[in-house]
Amino acid sequence: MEAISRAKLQQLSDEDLMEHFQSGYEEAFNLLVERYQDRLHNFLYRYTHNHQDCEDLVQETFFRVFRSRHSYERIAKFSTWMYTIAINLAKSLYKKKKRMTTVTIHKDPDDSEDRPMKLEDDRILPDDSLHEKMCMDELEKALMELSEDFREVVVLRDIQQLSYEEIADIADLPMGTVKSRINRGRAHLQELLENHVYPGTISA
Amino acid sequence: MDLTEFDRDEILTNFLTDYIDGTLGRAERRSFEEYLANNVKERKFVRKAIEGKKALSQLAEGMKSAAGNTSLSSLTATDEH
Repeated sequence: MEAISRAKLQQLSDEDLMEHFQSGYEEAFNLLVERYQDRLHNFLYRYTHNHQDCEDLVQETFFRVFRSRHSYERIAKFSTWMYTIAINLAKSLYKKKKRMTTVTIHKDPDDSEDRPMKLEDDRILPDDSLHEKMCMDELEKALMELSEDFREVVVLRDIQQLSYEEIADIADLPMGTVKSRINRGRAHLQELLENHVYPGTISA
Repeated sequence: MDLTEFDRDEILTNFLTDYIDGTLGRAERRSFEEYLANNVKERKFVRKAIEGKKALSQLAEGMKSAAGNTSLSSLTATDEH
């Protein structure tokens, strides 16, 4: 097999890289990981809201891409195939977590020394950064309040910037449903933000 | 959230999607805006969808600037189980 330089591989499309990976070039897989690990992490964070969980999911997604490389067929875009794997993993984790019992540690009312614990952030943020962080937090919170059906499609469209066709493939929904859910998801998100009195998005 | 005509009519949904994406031609956009001018519930829905999209774009931008905090350098194609 003729050796291909990393620089040459870098110029290839995702689908070409997958073909090279299928032929035994593991470097092609590493390049796909480099291309998608941050995007995938950001995407999965919308589902899990937990960096550790989504780091695990990203690793598991790439592991499955690695293991199932021969089941990938070029008729599908690589990103569509990979996001489908990631979504299925995120949904499984969500179901698993829902089944788990939550244990909360309460303050002991009989113990005068038992005070609520304060976790202090030692990073003092300037006003602008603080405001920006607060806005982002409100957005994150509102997004997590959307139902999963809406969240999935708006994240794929407005965060991951996938096409409607790709989203229809990933979510396994008709195109009309995808578009309708995206529009409703956006409008519902805005309602949630207005309820949280998020000033940046309220129109005069 | 109240139901609107967009929930009942796929053609209107396509119009709305293209309107928000900015891909309607001038004449189509004008017709759609005339429709909105005469339908309060739908107009309010469109306003919210546009603002929601802006908020999501803001979030995407914020995430882009925060990118790089994630490191998966330990993940390499060295083993297959």
